[in-house]
Amino acid sequence: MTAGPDPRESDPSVLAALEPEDLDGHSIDELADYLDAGMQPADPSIDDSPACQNALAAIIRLRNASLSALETAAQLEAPADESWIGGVLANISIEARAGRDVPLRAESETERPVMTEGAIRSLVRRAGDAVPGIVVSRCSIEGDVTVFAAPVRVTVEVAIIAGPAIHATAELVRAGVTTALAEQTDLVVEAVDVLVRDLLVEPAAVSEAASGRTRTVDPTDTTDSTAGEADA
Amino acid sequence: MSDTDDTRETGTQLPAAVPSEPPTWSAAALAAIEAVVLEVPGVADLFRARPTVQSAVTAIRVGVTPTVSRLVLDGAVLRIVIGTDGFAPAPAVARAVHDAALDEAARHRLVLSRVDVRIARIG
Repeated sequence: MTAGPDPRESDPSVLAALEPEDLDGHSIDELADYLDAGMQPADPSIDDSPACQNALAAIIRLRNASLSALETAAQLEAPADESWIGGVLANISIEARAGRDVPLRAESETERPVMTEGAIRSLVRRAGDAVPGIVVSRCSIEGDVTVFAAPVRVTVEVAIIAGPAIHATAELVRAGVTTALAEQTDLVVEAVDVLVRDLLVEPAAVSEAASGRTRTVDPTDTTDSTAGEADA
Repeated sequence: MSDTDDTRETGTQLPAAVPSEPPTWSAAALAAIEAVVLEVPGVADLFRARPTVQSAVTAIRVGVTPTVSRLVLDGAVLRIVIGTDGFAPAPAVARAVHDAALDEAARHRLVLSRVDVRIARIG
């Protein structure tokens, strides 16, 4: 496993600047604690916050999708893994905030529909997480999303559980994200780039290695594997 | 007695006087709009819209406690923040919410210049 999703997200000044208000007054740690407590007692400031709900959904997916692989990897390289999970959580915190308003197509003068950038990033993350063996570590939207029909480019950075063919799995991510954006937004998507940044060691592979068999995983094979671009 | 005083001559009541002022917003009207918005297919959540200074002034003027309603009335602009279910296409849901809010406002004889629908969560 490589060191983390993106060094930029490890910048303490960036994270510190996000803490006070970007999740409607809550930090990502508070949301994780709220989940651990079974979301009881109910906290309306979290339950009624779309940004918090986006972040909570992403944390739940992260926990459900990657728990076994992360636990196994953590046994092999605990310090790096903690850093990696922390990086993903930091990215969730960044992405879940509302961000800019992205205009939708209006059909009358009394209509002004918009979608938050946070909602779109969460949609992208959910579409990527839905692919088996994938954990989205970071996603971003490049382009002036505040202008209707302006072309944008979406980048999804993922960790992939060793086993399935990396290019085929990354292609599933690209297709899933492209479809989700086409169905749920009015964005003009110029491209969807999928970057495989990390390789999560499959538990079975570790078991085999531990039992003396020869199967191993070389993380250097996974760095910056780009799946390709979506059709415009 | 005046020739024009029909009431006294016939002993019947005149129709109720037409209100001199247009209908104003009320908590009941906002609650009704909230209810119809929540019934729009594809709407999963109705979040509290962020109030503006103008909306707070409007709320106080019409007697609506700003923290009670999840909708924000900013002059003649209604602001609605929703989450969708992730199945129905979000842009179509936003349009349906706009239409439903506008229709319900009209039922209360209230005029909106615009309905701002903000989708803050999908699925």
